[in-house]
Amino acid sequence: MQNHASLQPESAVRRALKHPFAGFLLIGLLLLSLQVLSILGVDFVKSSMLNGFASVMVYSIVGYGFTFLLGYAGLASLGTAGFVGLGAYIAGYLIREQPQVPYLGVILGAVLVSVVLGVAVGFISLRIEGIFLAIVTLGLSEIFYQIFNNWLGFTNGSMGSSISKYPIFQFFQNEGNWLSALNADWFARVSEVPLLKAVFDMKTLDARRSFYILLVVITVGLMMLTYNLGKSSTGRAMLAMKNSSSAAQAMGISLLKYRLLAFLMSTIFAGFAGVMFMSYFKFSTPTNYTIIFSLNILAAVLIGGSKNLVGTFLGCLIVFGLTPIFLQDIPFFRDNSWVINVTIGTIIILIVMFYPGGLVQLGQKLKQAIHRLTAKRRLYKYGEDD
Amino acid sequence: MAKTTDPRYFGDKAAAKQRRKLFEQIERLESEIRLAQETVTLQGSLLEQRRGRKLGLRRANMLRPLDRLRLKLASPEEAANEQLADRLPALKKRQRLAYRLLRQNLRRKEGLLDKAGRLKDGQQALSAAALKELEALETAHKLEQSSLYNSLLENAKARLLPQAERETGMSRYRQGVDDMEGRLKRMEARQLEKDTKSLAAFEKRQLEKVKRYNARLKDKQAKLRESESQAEHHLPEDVILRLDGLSMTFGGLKAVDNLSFDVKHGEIFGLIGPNGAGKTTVFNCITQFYKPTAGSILYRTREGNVLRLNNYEVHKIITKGIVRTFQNVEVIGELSILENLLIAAHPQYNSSLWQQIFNTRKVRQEEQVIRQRALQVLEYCGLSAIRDLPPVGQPYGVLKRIELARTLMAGANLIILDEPAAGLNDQETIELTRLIRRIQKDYDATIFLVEHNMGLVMDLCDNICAISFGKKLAYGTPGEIQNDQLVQDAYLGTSEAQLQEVTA
Repeated sequence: MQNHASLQPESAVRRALKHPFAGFLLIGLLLLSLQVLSILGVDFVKSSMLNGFASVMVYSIVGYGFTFLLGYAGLASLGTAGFVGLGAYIAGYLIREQPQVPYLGVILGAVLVSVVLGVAVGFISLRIEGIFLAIVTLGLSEIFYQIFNNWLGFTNGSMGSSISKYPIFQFFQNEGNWLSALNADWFARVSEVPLLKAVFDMKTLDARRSFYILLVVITVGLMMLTYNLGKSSTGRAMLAMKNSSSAAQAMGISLLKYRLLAFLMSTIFAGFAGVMFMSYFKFSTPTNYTIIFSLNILAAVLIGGSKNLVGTFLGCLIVFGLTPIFLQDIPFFRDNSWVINVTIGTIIILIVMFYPGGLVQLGQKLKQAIHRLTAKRRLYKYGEDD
Repeated sequence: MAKTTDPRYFGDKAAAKQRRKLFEQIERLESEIRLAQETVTLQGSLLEQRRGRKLGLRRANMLRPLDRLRLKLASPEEAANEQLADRLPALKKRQRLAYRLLRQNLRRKEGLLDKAGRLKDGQQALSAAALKELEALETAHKLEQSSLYNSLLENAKARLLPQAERETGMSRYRQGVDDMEGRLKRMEARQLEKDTKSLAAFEKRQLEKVKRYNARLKDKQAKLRESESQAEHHLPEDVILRLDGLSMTFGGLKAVDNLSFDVKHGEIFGLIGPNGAGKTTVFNCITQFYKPTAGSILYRTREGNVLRLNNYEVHKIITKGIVRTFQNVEVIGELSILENLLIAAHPQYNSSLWQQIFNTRKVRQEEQVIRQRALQVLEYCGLSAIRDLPPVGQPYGVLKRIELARTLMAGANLIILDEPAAGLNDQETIELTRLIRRIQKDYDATIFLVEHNMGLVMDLCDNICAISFGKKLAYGTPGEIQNDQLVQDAYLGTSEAQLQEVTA
C-alpha cells in the first residue's frame, strides 16, 4: 500500500493562519467586531473606547513608517510629531477654508508636503548619524511646534484647528448624486437581512462609525503593503545598511537611495496619519505635537520589537490605548489620573528591561514557557518515560 | 606606463557619464534577460511539482472506496491485519500512558518520588504488590490488543463477500483499479497538455521579452563600442586590473604613494606588506570606498570592456564584477545566511518599488529565481545545511565562507579578499585555501588578496606585489619575492640608512 500521508493537504484554517497576513486580518476583524458590537447596542463597548482604538490605529500608521526608519534602516528621528501635525493642519486648513478641494486632494497635498520634507531630512541624515540626527530632527519638530502655535491663519494657534464635517462622506450625502442613489438602493437591499439591518441601518450608521470602519481597512491595508516592502529586496537592503554600511555599499546598495527612502516612508506615513487624525477627531491643538508624542512613537515601536508590524500595533495599543480604552473605566484610575502615566511608564520600563526584543520576544518567551510547563506537568503526572 | 596626468585617462567628462549610463542600461537588460530565461525553467519544474501533488491527492481520494472493496475481498486474516496495523499504534500509545500513570501513582503512594515527580535516588524498587498490579495492567492491555484483533477479524468475516459474489467483486475491483489508472492517466495527460500549453505560452512571452531586450541590447552595445574608442582606455588583453600611479593621502599622510602594478586575468594575486603598509587602503581605493587622490585604476570586465574605476560610485563597483570581502567579516546579523546571499544579489533585482509594495507576480518570480541561484551557491560552498540560521554565533571559518559565497552570488569576475585567513585555525585555513582554488577554477575568477599568513600567500599566489609605506618594493613570483632583499628588510627590519632610502 502506498503511503499518501505526506500528500494529505494541510487543513485550510491552519494554512490560512500560517499566512503572514493572518495576524493583520485578525487585528482588523477584532477592531471591526468592536464597532459592530457597539452598533448592535452592546453596553460594554463605549464610544470612548472606540475613539481610543481609532487613535491607536492612527498612531500605529505613524508607527509603521517609523518601523521602517528605526527597525529596518536603523535611523532614529525625534521629529515625528512635527510631520504628523503638519498633515493634520494641512487637512484642517484645506477642509475648513478650501471646501472645493476633494478629499483625495487633501490627502495628496499632505503627502506631497511630507515627501518634500522627507527628502530634505533624508539628505541631512546622510551627513549626520545616530544621536546627532535625533537632535537635528528634534529641532525640526520644535520649529514645527512654534509654527503650529503662532501661524494663526493656518493653524488657528493654540485654540486648535477644527473642522465641522466628515469630509469623505459629503459626497455620499449629496442629494441627487448618482452614487448616493446607488448607495441608497444598495443599503435598502442589505438592510433586509436581519443582522445586517441593525449594522447598516442608515440611521444608526453615523459618519463617525463609517470612518472608523474605513480606518480599520486602511490600517490593515497599510500593514500588508508595509510588510510586502519589508520582505522584499528593499527591506533587506535597509537591514544590510543598518548592520554594516560598508558591506551594504560593497554589495551595491546605495546609502543615499535607501536612507532617503526610509525617511520618505516615515514622513509620508506620518503626514497621512495626520490627515486621518484630523478627519476622525475633527480637532487638533499644537499640544498634541510636542516632543512627548515623538518619544511615545519611538517607545511604541521599540516595545513592539521595532521590526514587527503586529508588534508595532500592540506597542501603540500599550502606549496610546491603555488610558482611553481600559484604565479610564476603572474607578481608581479615574480618580487618580496621575497613576495612569506611572503605570504605563512602569509597563514600558519592564518590557524594555526584560524583553529588549520587544513584545515579539515576549511572545516567543511565553510560548517557550508554556512548553516547559506542559512538560513539567507531564512529568509530574506520568513520571519519566523509559 | 602612462603618467597619471595623462589627459587620456580623464577623457571627456560628458562622454564618461554617457558610458556609465550605457553600462547601466546594458547591465539591466542583461539581468532582465537572464531572469526571463531562468524563470522559464523554474516555471517548468514548478508546474511539474504541482501536477505531481495534484495527481497524488486524486489517487489517494480515488483509492479510498477501492480499498474498502479490497478489504472485503481479501482473506479475513489479511484484512484484519491490515486494519490492525492502522489502529494498533494509537491503542499502544494510549495503553502506554495508562501504564505510566498507574506506575507513577503506585510510586507516589510508596513515597519513591520527589516533589517534581522524579524518582528519588537509590529508591527505585516497587513493592511486590505494586509490581503485581502493574503486571495485571499489562496483561489486561495484551488482552485488549488481542480482543481488538479478534473483533476486527470477526468484522472482516462478516463483511466477507459470499463465494458467489467474490468473482464479480474481484472483477469489479480489478475493473475499478484499471478504471482509476486509466482516469489518472487521462487526467495526467490532460493536465500535462494544459501545463505544456501554458508553459509554452509563458515561454513565448518570455522569449519575446528576451528578443525585445536583445534588440535593445545590441543597440546599446554598438553605442558602447563607439564610445569606447573615444574613451581610449588601453589595457593589454591579459590584464584585468591595472593600478597606474595610484596615490592616496589622508591630510599629510601618504598612505599609498604612486603605486603601479598589473593583475593578470585568471591568476591569484597577492599584495603583501608589513602592518600599516597601505594594503587595505589600496583595496578601498579599488572598490572606491576612498576616492584616490591621484592615479588611475583600469579594469577589464568579463565582456572585455575597459573601465576607469575612478569614475564609478562605490555601490556601482559590484555591478562591474568586482566584489570584496572584509578584514573583519561583515555579515548581516539580522538576516539568515541565505538572505545574506540575497543581499549580494541586490543589483540583480529589477522590480520597482511599487511592484515590491504590491508584491506583484514579477517580484515573486524574481525572488524565486534569485533564491534558486543562492541555493546553488550555498550548495557549492557547503553551507546549505545551515542556510536558514542567522550567521551570528557561527564559527569564524563559516563566516568567511559566507563572505566568499556572497562574492560568488554577485557573479564576481575579480574577487578581492582582505586577509581571508585572519582569525582562522590551521584546519580552517587549509579548507579556505582549497575553496579559493576551487572558486578560481570553477568560476573563472581572478583573485586578488591581502594576507599576513605568508605560508598561504606563497602557496596560493601566482604573482605577488610587496609594498611598504605605500610604495612598491617588489613584484614577482613567490620565489622571487622570498629572495628579494628589500622585502626581507621590510619584514625583518633594516638599518636606519636603508629605511630612509626606502621612505624617501
